[in-house]
Amino acid sequence: MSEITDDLIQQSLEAGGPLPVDLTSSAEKEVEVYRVIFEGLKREPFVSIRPDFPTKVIQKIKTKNRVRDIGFYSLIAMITVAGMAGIYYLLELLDKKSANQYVAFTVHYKWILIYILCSILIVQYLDQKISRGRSKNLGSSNFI
Amino acid sequence: MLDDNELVSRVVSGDLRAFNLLVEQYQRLVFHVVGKMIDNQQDVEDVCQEVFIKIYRGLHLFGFRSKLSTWIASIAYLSSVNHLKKAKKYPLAFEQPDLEKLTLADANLVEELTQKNLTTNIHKMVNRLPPLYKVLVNLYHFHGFSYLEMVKITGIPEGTIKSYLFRARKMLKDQIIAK
Repeated sequence: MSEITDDLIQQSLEAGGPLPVDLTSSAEKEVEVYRVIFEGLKREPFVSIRPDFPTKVIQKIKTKNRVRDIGFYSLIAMITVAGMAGIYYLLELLDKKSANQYVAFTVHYKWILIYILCSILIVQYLDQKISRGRSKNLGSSNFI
Repeated sequence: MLDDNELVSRVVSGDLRAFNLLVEQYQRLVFHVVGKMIDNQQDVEDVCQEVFIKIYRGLHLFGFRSKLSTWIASIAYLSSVNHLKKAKKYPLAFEQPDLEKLTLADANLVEELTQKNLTTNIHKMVNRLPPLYKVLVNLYHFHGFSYLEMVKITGIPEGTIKSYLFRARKMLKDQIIAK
């Protein structure tokens, strides 16, 4: 009759190999308890997940994307306005008359310039939407 | 059912339906890892959401250098560690238990350790282990990760992981036999 160490029992159970047969009763009890533990641990522990968890994650991603997009477009608009202001100040330094002409031109055609800027942003936005939609459609045709 | 390659390429191309599938497929893994490290259920859910958002943002960098499950588990583990660090509970997750004082099971639990309620009671005992031991036990036994994969997930050396697993199982055994 022989004793057996915890390490040896665990290594044997991990490897799925045989254990010594001629064990003392206390050693046999230990082996049996380890078997119960190994069996029990293979089964899934309880975990509480709300059924709408995936939906909530996707909502959060969409919200973050929207905020990022608004930030991006606002930045484009601000850069455009800053650029135009920069041109004015540069002209002011070089030639006051040209600067005044530039301001007059901008004010006269302000709605056209705003229209052009909005068009560029809308085209940019629609292009993103269409290319995302295209990639979803390509994917959905293979959905099982 | 899509395989991982197909799933990843669709998510990377912006397909949120594919991402929804990915979340459903891997949410149990993520909740198991995060839930073993963090006690508060609301924090667990918040961190799990954060994990999937990181997965969504980082999937284009994944590159299949490991299994998708390994990569996801590592993000879940690191996010949990970061959360614990922010909450200043990080050292507790790695605290070595004082075996003299540790009680994993009460007498009733052990009495009831029959085949019928084996799962519930073993896992109740596991839940009293230190957080890192719980995670390793769960990753190895239920999710079937190898030692090498667990090294990739946790960054802990293989020898240390083996040692922690052995200690955790020995603790369970000693408590059951002592009763």
